[in-house]
Amino acid sequence: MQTDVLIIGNGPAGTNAAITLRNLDPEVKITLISDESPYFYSRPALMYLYLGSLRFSDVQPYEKNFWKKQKIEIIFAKVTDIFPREKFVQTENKDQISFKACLLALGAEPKKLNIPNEHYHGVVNFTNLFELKKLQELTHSPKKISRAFVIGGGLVGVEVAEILRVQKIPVTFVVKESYFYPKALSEKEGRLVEKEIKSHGVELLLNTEVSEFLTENEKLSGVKLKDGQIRKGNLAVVTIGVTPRKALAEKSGISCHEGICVSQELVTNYPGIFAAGDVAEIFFENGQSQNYLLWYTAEKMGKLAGENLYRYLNGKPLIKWEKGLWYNSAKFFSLDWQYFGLEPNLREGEKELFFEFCHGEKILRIVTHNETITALSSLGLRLRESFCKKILLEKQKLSHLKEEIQNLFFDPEFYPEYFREVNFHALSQNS
Amino acid sequence: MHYPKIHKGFRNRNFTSWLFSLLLISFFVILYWDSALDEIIIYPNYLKDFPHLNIPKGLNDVNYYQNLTEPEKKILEKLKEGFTFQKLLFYLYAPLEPFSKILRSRSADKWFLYGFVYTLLVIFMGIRFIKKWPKEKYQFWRTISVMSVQLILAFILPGLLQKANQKEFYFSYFWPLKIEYFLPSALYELPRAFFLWGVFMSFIAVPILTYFFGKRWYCSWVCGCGALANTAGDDFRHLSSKSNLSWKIEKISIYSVLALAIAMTILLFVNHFRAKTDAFSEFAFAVQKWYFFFISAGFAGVIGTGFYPVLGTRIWCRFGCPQAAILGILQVLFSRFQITTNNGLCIACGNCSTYCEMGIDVRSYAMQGKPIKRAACVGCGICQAVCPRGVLRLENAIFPK
Repeated sequence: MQTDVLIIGNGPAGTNAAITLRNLDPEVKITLISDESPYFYSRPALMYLYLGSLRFSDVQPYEKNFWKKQKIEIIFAKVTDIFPREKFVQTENKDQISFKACLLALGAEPKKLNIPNEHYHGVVNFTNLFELKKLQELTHSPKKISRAFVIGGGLVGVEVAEILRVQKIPVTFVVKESYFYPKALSEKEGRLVEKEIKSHGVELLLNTEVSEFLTENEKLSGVKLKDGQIRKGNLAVVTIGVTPRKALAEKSGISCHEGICVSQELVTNYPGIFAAGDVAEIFFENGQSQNYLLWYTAEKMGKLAGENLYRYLNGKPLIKWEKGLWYNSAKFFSLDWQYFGLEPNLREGEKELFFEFCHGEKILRIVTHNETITALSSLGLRLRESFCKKILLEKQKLSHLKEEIQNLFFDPEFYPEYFREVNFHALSQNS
Repeated sequence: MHYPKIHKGFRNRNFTSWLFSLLLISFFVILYWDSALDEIIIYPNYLKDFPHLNIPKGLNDVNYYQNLTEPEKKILEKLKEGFTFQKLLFYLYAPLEPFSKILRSRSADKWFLYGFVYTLLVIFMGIRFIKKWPKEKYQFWRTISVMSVQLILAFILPGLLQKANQKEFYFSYFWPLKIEYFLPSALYELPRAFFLWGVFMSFIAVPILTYFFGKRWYCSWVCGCGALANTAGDDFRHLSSKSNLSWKIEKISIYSVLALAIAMTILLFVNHFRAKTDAFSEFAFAVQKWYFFFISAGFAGVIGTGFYPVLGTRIWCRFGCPQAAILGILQVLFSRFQITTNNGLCIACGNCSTYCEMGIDVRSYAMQGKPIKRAACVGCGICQAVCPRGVLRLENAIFPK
């Protein structure tokens, strides 16, 4: 069969590309193909599907007839080969789809620990619908789980720890780092998160790694830690992160590095073939490259890909991806976390200012570089995005924030007005 | 955190939900139309040989009873032993006699039963609801407010008014929801102060409060329908339909009821000032009778509450209530209330849309970064509470301050 634009992958990147392209061109033929789920669904909502507090139809942002109305063709199949020069793909059913332009929005796949017995029954990850089903089957009778190991201290790990605790399953959280999530949190914030995790009955092991899975009768029976300790348990969820799913592109001759190599216009080494989302690695003019493994960035990149697909098909110059604001958010059990800024870690010359409220239960961190605000991070309280973006994009100084501090807070009504407590004269600094 | 299981069981329209709904509907049908049901279903069995016997009169009018023949009296005795719907209700409200005597200095009746059970549900389910959301301050104050209004303004005060031989009056209801408070009959049936209170609420308080706070000041903080929906009905809020088709039907249906309520009010006032008894006045009173039958009793009462376990809690509020229609128009056109969205943080999980009791696709606004300004939004604040990323905020002021 033939199409104008083939988009492989219907996650946030692929879906946003399809919708953006359709809004620009009502006639171009768009085909969206996925091997995980026929319709776009919210992957971050997997934990709610597990708990049963959302039904599968609830986690799909668009009604089924939306795709028909948008005239976007949906195919539920696995692409096994891409022929970039000949401009067609082949699926596992041996169907061939030829295209004028293609977007590879293949996403990311779970990283492996690469330790013995990782493939045994009882060891799963939590990155897609298939793994969700495996976890649901393994914990169908929660009482049969003697102990669960969540391996990898990150945003998914803490969600898995939470959902297992809702089932009252004993959980040991194995974290490699010396405090929780140093990739994005300062130590002060990390310690508050640790306190929150432990308060829900989770055994938190920092500075610890699993060196081997132990099995009995073909099933997981425990883990061996790097220090030699042996712990018994019959469930392990590996949440050490994800890596671009580049295998399909690599074997087809498309240039890959850590991810699929693309220019700032999101074009691969074949004109007309684009990549966006978790799978893409953008190369900048200065030789640096960046791969973004983030839901919000995938959405933005997908929109740019849609725009550039339109421009490519109509002979217009393509637009570049510009490094902009970086934001992230999560929920550590009942602790909200929001981050708006340029990069998560301290860079040369940056200073951190901390404001604590409610006896240290809530933390606001403002990062500055020569008095200009470069990041805002809040734990246990909410920030107003439009105001944060304004401060960061306009490169405003800390002194300006003083005047408009009440516009920063976004907690619901009837919450204490924390900004009244912010005393700029009594700062606690971290250098 | 609070994670109800809505994918199966009682909360997902299983057999028990349908059964419970049937039970609720039956209760309401009997409550509103017990005498009609008796006349249609029960009495005919007794009237086979005595077609001229007036059973209600025979049961209540001593003079009429004394002039009946012996066989007719025997039939009435037989009826008193047998089942009637009125008797069923009597067994239900009889135990409340002491409460009714203390509060109102009069005997209990079916409406006291209704008010008593309604208020009890709001209080106890309200406490249960507050326990479900220990950290949500907006939910706490909102629930305290509706519990207090229901208990004081919608139960105790009307009772005390009756005790003082005054007109039973509900200060928390007014035209067009309690349409009788601004009809010609209100002019001579209600004490002047109460009538003026109703007029003040309908035409002065409504626009001013809605400008500042949106529709929520009434629908989520005062109204008894909302009180029951958000306390006893909280387990069913996710059953509201989010489809575009439902939104289209909602707009047609709610504005039709509003048009009917306004038309009926005008009709009755015109009839009142004409002061004639003719085909026109007969028509006016017929419209009034059918409005009360279909809209007040059928729609608001039976359908609105009976279908909680299968259609969700705000059926009347969303598809019928003329007050909601007016408040909604004011909210969208000139209110300061909106739900601001932190678009960049939205992960499209769907918690907001799923738990919206009015069937608003909150997620689509968050994904597009648009504030939610919808006529249907009652400002219950649950979307703000269930959002796992702090994307939503109910607020009145226009940012920046």
